[in-house]
Amino acid sequence: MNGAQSQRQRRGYVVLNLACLIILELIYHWGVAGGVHNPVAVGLIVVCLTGLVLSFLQVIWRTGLWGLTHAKVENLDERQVMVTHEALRYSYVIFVPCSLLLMFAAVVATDFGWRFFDVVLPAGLLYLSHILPAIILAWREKVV
Amino acid sequence: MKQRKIYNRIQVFRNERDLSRQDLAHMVGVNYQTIGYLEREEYNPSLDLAFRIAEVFGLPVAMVFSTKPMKPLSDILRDKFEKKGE
Repeated sequence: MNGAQSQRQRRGYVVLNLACLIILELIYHWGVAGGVHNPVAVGLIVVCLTGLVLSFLQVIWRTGLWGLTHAKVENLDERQVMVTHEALRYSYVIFVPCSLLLMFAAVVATDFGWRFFDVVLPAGLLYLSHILPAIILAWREKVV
Repeated sequence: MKQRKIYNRIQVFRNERDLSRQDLAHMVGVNYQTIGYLEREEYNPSLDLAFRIAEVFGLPVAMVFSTKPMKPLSDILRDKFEKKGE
């Protein structure tokens, strides 16, 4: 882990990243997928995608958290193994209920005739599953 | 099990030997940030790492790590000096 961002800055980028992801999903479902192909929705998607990429680069890539959470155990020292293990444990605890809740919502929404489950939702969940450990480290650790 | 805080004198001995965190990290085989965490006493090392650090300084483990807050070395030296003077 390296970088000179304060914990506050990192938390700001984490909030931005997750907010962009959620807004992107919502715009897609309520806007594009609903047949509203207006320039505002497309503009918002571009803004959110930019925010998502920039915050990802700032808080996950530049800090080395991506490398840390995806590294082999033999390349990490004992503290790094401990913090990544803890982050993965938290990720599992957060990700599983979130996924189950979304799947349940998708089933209920389908019953009401609203197409909820499409390519964007699993893509978002896959992205979230990959960044969650790094995001937890960025949020919790004093120095990264 | 809640861990006890382990106090240490890593920073003092490292500065005495004019070693950077990076140097010490390289010598004991950890990331340099782990040395920072150890020096700030935010992370308790394993027994193996504690021995490796003590070996780099050429000192017994008990001189580098303790479960009780460690007296500054200058205070210990002063006490010894005053005892000798008596």
